[in-house]
Amino acid sequence: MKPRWPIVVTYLILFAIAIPWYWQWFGAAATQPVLGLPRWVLVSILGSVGISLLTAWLILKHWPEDADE
Amino acid sequence: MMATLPFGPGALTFISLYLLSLLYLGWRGRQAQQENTLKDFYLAGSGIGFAVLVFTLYATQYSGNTLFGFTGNAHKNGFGWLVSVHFMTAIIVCYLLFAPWLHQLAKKHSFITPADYLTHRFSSTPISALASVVMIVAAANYLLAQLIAMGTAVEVLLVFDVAQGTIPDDAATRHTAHMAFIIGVVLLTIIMLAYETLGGFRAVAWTDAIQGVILVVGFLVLLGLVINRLGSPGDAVAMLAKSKEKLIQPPNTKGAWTWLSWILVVGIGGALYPQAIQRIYAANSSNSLRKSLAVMAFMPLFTTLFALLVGVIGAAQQYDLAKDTYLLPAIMRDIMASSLVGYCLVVVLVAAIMAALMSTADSVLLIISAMITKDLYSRFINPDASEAQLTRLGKWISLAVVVLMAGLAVGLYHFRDNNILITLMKLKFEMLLQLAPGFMLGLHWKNLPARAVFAGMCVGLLVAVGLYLGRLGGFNFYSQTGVHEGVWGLLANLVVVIGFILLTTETQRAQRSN
Repeated sequence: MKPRWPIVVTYLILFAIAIPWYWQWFGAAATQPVLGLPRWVLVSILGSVGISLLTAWLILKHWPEDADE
Repeated sequence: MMATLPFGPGALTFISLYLLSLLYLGWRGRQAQQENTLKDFYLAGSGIGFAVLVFTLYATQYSGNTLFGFTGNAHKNGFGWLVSVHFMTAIIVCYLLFAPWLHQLAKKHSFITPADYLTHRFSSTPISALASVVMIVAAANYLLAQLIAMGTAVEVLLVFDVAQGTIPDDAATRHTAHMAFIIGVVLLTIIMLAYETLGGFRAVAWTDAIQGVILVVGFLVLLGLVINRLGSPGDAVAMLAKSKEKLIQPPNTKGAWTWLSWILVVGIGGALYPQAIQRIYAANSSNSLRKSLAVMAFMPLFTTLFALLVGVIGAAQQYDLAKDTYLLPAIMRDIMASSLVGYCLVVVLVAAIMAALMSTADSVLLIISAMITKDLYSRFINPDASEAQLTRLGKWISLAVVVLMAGLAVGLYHFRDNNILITLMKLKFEMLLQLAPGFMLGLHWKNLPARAVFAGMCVGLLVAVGLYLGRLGGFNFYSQTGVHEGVWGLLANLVVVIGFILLTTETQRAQRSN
């Protein structure tokens, strides 16, 4: 299998969004409620939705049917 | 004073009917048996279609820990436990690295156990044997944890006292609690063993389908009830902002590393659970498998996220709990007392809790039996045994394993909260992670040598388990670095694999030039 770099990079970006490493520098804006949830939580959940969508799309559209040894 | 039992005859009849339906499915599974072979008993003849496969994957992946442990963790850590949504999604992402190829190879070469693939790929007895032992130990640990959780769930559901936030400490209640625990372990184990022995994987998968549906309904009911009774997540966030602000704060840098570590350790380790690999083999077609995994990619949003929200809403309330895992029973008691509808829905939730525990435990028990029978007995002790003999032996092994584990669960009743026991019982992902190069790299890297994989596994296991057991001596490498010991082990594992290959290539080049 050859790694498909655009997909790998997309996953890295989505996980980088989903893991809230950068919110500590946003101060109070991070916990400001949006749709009832802290902003960082909402963004992290959206990142997870993105990962789920990408994964489902890969599974349904790019599942290797002729895998050999 | 002894706590009053919370369930009336109607509720007990409903739960009894549900448990009897599992036995009925076991009997139907036996009737559907096509041949007396390992493949039929342990993989239902690799004939599991989409509808059953998706629910058996779901019910096996989400255990009682999702209901009790995850809500408890969210109660304690607030939105910091949002990482659970990501690590459960990561399991499906990791499947992409090996499941399509493994499924096709399993079809072609009639694999039964995970080690069958390793044997086929590397033709190395040390790799197959070590991987089998690692998976059996990890699965046995998981089974013991599920059996203890079964007893604890029955105990807590029956005798938990909301006002005190714990199980009352008087002698009569303590005795009732102990009896409830033993009955929970013994009764649920007998039912599980009965349907599994009758119908093998077919019965396990069919009961998982029922249990999976109840579990999905249970999570929907749980969140709906909690919002109705205690308020929305938005209300909880507003309350927490005033009283427990830490629970709504994002993690710091070390916390973010810990999130990444969780994603790696559960994502890779969860995908390599032997019972998960068994389901990859059991799918009747790659179409069924890919549709099931596509659905599973979204399930954390409807399961783990729901558990997180329940925990966060609970954290905003003034429950005075002796343990965070008591949050769910506290909420359930609260809702039961509020209305008849609430009472009825909590009964459904109790069935969902039993479903979550049993569906995971039965799958783990079946794969332990398969691995001992096929990977150890058939390979090393009696290679000439017939399929019928092995299938019969497998059933006896299931019985022996479950009696041993249920006995341990009951015997360890007074030591459940002992740190040493808890630490030992959590040791599974650290070990499973070290099998990743063999499965994930082995499928794609045709020149990956067996010796490199074996050396990597040994070093990875030594590092991961060694560091992990340091916790028993007060040296907690995880809390110091924020990264799980299993991830350090995997790094060491990969360094050895790559180093071994580079060294071998260099030596061969030098030999050629001479």
